[in-house]
Amino acid sequence: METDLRPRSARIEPKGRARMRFWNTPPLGTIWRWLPALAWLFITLFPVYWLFNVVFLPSGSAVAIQPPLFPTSLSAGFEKLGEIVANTSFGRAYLVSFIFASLQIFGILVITSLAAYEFALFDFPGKNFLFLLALSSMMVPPAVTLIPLFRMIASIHWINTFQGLAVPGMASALSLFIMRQHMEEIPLDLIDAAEIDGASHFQTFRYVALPLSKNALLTVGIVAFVYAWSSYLWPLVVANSPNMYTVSVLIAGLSATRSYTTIDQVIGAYFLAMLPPVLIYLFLQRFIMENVTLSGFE
Amino acid sequence: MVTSTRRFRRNYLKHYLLLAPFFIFFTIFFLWPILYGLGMSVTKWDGVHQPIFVGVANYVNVIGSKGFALGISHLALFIIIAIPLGVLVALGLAIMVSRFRGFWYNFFQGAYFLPFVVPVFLAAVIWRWMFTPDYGIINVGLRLIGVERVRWLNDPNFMIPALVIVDLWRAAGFNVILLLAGIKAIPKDYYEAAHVDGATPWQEAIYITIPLLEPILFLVIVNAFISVFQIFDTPWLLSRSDYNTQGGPGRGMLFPVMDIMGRAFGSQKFGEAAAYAMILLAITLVVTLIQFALRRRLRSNR
Repeated sequence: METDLRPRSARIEPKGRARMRFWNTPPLGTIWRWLPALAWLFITLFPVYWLFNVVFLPSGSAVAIQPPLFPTSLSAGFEKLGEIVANTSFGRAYLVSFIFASLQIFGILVITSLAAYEFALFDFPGKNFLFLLALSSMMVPPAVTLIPLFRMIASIHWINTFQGLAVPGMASALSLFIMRQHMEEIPLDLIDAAEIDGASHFQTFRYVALPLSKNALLTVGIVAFVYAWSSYLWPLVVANSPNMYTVSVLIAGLSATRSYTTIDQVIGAYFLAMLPPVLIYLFLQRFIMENVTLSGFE
Repeated sequence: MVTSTRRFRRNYLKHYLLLAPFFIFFTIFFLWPILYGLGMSVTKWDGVHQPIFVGVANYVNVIGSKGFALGISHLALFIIIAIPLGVLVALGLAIMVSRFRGFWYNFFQGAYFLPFVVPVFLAAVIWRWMFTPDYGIINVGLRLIGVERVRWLNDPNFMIPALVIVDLWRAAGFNVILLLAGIKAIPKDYYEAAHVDGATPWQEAIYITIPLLEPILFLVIVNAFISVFQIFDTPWLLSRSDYNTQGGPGRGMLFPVMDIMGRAFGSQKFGEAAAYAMILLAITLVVTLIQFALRRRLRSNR
């Protein structure tokens, strides 16, 4: 991010009394920094690496007796993954999760961009009350609304439907909050100018504010995707028929029953389930670091 | 406000119209279910027959039950271990990463955040697989250094620690990012002044970084408490729970939301489950308000 512009000597050499302290002297100071940093790096990456490693080993490797440290067979890995998509209902669950996530993201973007536009740029009676009301929902455990929501969804016959999965999560307070943070950056002059030119309130939103909010939309879209892909509690109760299993529900069930699957298939399925969010993160890391993680919480 | 109705409408109606979609959904899928749940919590209801009004009986039953005592004691134990540990680890990592520059700063920050992107359900099943007693990689690794077969997910003494490990692995990176943003906002002059005075990095951390990070540390702690009360996916999957049995051997990993799920969808006691959810909501609100009040008092005493 930012580089230290001071001369090299000023960076490395501590001044005055500090020079004598053992861990501020260059060699130990460096070790004290690097050792824990690398140790936590190992802890962080190990589970993900180990999963990758086991998937790309020849099937039936005796992993536990002599753990291989490097993946040895790419072809075996792809064969396993292909088999999972072909021979289990995993492919279908993948599709269900993607449709569910897309539907929910679409709803969230429409609903929260409209509301965030008002909260970010205008004043009206009740503004603070409404905004705090929405935010306070983040404090309420989902278990509180879960059972009544399940009964409501059941009574309108939305169990095992995409709308049943996606619609209840659309009024997302977190998304509203992130969207508002971004939309506050829109210059009010532009809004005023559009309204003076005779644009209606909605037209101003649609043709001035929205095009200026691409970053906000992408940010909220990413967050909403990761949330939808990870959600487990709600799909567990509302999508209980096998042909509507999401990836989360299917994965959780895979290992619980251990019926028709081999350990290779289970691990391969874990790997496939991890791919979408992790790939998004790896490709958009800089964008995510700057927008997603910080915008929401500053 | 003394505006006439017509003027009020001319001025503000357009704003409320664009807010309407959000708040309609919010009312139907959030506010109404809370009220509905409150109503449900005072009835005896199996989901099939007519609900019968029973007053506070459900609340009394829940609070007197073994499951409630277990759930709350696990919650307390988990809070005592996981929150201080989580905050200390995240703070230590953030201070350490902040001493790197350029590539390595971005690299460590990015890598530490990765577990947070892995879905919770997946983190739980991956760790469950690694925790397997005989063939799991963790015990295989421990055997190399002479530790014999730890039954991570079956021995009640190790169940909560196992959960703490998974939670720490997942949440630390997220908190590190928040704290790093806070550290970046601290004016460099402070450190330069300390540097001139010969402060050690340790002293800089104690006297400059940590006090100035207080608002973000507070946010991290409040957020940690709220998510502990909601904890579900990880213990549910680590302990191989289903609607009929929750929490694994000795129910050693039973947490409130898991118990709620069992009462609702296992024993068809929807009223009791709703009452438990209301109790959980009350606990969350009270604990959060206490934290805000404590903070206010500490600040005014300073």
